[in-house]
Amino acid sequence: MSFEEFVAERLDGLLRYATVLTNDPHLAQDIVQEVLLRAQQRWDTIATPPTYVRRMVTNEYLSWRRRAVRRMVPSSHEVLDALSPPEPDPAAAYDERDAMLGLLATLPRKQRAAIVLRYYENYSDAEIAAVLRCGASTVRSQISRALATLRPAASHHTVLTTGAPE
Amino acid sequence: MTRSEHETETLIRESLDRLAARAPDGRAVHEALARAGRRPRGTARLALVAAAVVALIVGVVAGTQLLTTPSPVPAAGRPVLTYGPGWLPDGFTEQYREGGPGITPQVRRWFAGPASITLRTYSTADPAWSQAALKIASIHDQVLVHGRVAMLTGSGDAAELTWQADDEHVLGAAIAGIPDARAVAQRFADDVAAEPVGVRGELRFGPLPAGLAERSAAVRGSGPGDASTELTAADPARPSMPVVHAVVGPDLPGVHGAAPVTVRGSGGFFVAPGTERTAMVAVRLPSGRWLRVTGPLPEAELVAIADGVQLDPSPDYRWLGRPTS
Repeated sequence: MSFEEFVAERLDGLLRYATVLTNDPHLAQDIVQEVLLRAQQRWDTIATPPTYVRRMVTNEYLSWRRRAVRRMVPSSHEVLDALSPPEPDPAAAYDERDAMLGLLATLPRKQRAAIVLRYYENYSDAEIAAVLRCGASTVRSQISRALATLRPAASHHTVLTTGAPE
Repeated sequence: MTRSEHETETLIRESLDRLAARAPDGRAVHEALARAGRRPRGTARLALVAAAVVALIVGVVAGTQLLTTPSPVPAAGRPVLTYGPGWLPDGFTEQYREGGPGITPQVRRWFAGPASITLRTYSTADPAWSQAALKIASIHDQVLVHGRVAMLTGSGDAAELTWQADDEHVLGAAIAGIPDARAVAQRFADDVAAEPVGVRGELRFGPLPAGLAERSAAVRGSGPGDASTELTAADPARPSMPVVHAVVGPDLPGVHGAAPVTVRGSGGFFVAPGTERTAMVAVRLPSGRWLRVTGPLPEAELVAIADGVQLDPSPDYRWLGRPTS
């Protein structure tokens, strides 16, 4: 598969994966772009591009988060997102999925990556361990700790309505 | 698996799917890849760099072959900042202005000792701010600014107020170190108006390496006596991440461990990149002020950028240290 064919076929999926991983569509775009630009230069030497590129995106996220704080990202935008993830309809209800996304945002990045690989990519422990370069027992431990953090969102099903109080 | 565990996992999957739906389309990445594909890469690029270095060594300034032709009037050189305050608390003076071409955020800052007021202006053409009105409308902590719904956060001596001033601009007023900051933010925002001011520093970029474009110009100082100008350049595909910084100011840059290098025809310094620092070239200008250029680039390219910098003999630093111009 040529680089161009790979991009045509996989780019949208990579952007979705990176968005879920980073919780930031713009950072996701930066990361995917950076990874593909690098992969493009050595395409002929990459044996299994889908696995390789996905691992690069994950690694870039794990290292990029530290550098990202030095980016010129408007703090008030982060505040906005933290308070209310974008909704197509401002009157839409704030529900337990938003609460879950809020809790996911608090996870350490390795725990978040493990959760994303398990529940978004449906990877096995061994596959996650290969991507994160750790043992399967470490993966299980990361996921267990993450689930302990995330469980409260599932136990609160109250739907809160945003907007000015009546 | 208990029901609770099953519910948690189901909720995680649904939440991640919802987040995935916010992924950007691939247009910008396609464009960046297409641009990269048109540039010389790999060995060809290395050969070009090597040729340029050799040419510099023999005294021929062939390094400019690596550089793009400068715009006759660099757009970022003298940005105009759209909004300004009609009211400030007593004792505050303006000490920072930053802006740039296109959707580059604009920043103005006022200080009184450790307390500060920052006014940022963002373009709604910036994808990061295109949905600001919807976001503001969907949160609890709302106030009105000029009849528009605004978001007010913070308490005590720190607060931030964000509102969409018109169809093209989102404004943010950040207050720090001032008692009753929320009230101060509201009063400040109520008097913000579209009264453009300029930023005219003392340097402008000349030629820049391929793939970089001027991004911003900033002037800072507590008064004209300690003023400095900083320009940044970035990859247009990633404008939020400046790559090259060029600064002219009164202070001697840190040149510990530097190697001598000729910059602008004079004896200058090259500081190699390290764990906590990026590469830098610096030189003392005939005026006695210092020029430094930093960025993750080879020495020859940093020198070429410094050589190409155009100095403006009439910078406007008069507003520094005043409430506003």
